Amino acid sequence: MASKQHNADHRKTYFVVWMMLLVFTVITVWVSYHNYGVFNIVVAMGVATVKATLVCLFFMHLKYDNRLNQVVFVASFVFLAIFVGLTASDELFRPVEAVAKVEAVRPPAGNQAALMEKLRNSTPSLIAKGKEIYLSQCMACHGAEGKGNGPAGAALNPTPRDFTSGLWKQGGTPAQVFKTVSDGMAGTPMPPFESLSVADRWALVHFIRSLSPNTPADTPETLKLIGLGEGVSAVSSQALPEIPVDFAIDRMVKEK
Amino acid sequence: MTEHVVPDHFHSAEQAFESSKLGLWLFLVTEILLFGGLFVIYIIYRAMYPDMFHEASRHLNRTLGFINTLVLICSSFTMAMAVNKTQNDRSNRANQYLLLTLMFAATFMVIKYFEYTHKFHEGLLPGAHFSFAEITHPKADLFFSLYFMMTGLHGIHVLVGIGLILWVLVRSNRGDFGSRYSTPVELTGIYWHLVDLIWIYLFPLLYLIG
Repeated sequence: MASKQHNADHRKTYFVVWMMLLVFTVITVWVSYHNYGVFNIVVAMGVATVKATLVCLFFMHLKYDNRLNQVVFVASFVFLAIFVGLTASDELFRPVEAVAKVEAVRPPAGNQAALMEKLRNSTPSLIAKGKEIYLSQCMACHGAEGKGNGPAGAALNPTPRDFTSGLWKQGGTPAQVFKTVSDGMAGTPMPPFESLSVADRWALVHFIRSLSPNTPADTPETLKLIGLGEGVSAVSSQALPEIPVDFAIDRMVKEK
Repeated sequence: MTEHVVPDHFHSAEQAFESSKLGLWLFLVTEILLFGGLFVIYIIYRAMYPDMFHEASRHLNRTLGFINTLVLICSSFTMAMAVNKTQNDRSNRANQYLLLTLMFAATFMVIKYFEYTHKFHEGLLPGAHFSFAEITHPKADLFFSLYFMMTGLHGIHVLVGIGLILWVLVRSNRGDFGSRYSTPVELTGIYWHLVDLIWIYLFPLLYLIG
């Protein structure tokens, strides 16, 4: 079909195209090590398109192919351009979506959440303070050593918790114990101690847990009990969730 | 040497060849649009998380990507030469070029293998498997989902190409092809160039423009 001369010309073309492709690759990599802002993308895509065109025209022989094949293959790039171009024109030029920082989305009292976060870590001073409160508020039932054998507890049913047993009815993590101290335990004589301040309740929690041989750590699940943890907490303003306005309004409506 | 027989439903060898080639071009159109879908996903995520793409792409090995680009370009050249030699009835030279093409293709896959195992090792994985501490962006796994999807699909094409070239090489070695009939060599060549062409775009998109 093709003459010898014609084919020899092709080989020369292939060689030249090969060299050009290698040179273009070096150029595009070299450019990528320099920062020209938006031009990096333009150059990288431009060079890639030149390389792709060379491959199409000469290696794939599209230049010498019949018109039908040329139209068919080029048409795919026309459709690709529509597909990619319209998507890009939408995505790249959208106005920056307004990000709402809505106070109401935070837990009811932001400061309280921060306080809780701080107090839920046990310290020697908190434990010492907890012991004082324990001796005045809890000893009567739970006993001076926390064995559940206080004088007022003898008649109670069920008997008060022996903290040295390592057993917990409602869980032994700081958050769970805090919740039990705050809310009491339904179906038992254990009353709620809401009258104590948050700091005092935490001190108690740390003292009580210091008596127990079984002190599991909090998980995201248990933290939710006290309004902390994932999705609920926003301790500092930096950790504020960034959510779109309509979603925030939705959340506010649900909360109210 | 087996003489190729033109199927009955074609007028001539020329028409048979042109029909086959049109079929291949149509297939390549679907390939372009297949990868086009991935490019669109790339654009959308990149527009949503430009900083993350910038950070994550730095953890791809630019040098290995560069070497692989050169390797594929060389393989495209040797493939074009193999087709040319086949048309000129120089089967021995054609076989040598086909063998070279195979070696380049294998080199590409070996380098890809080392890149992938390194990513696996570091925990630079897609979706929920992502476990790499140095990138703090919460959506960084998206980049690696795209990376593995795009280079993985391309890698499958390379493997298919290796199979095709091997098949063509065996037949060429048997003496099936020459100036009278070289359709499989030419069509394998065009397919192989498309594999190169796709990589020409993947390389800058994933490795270079961070």
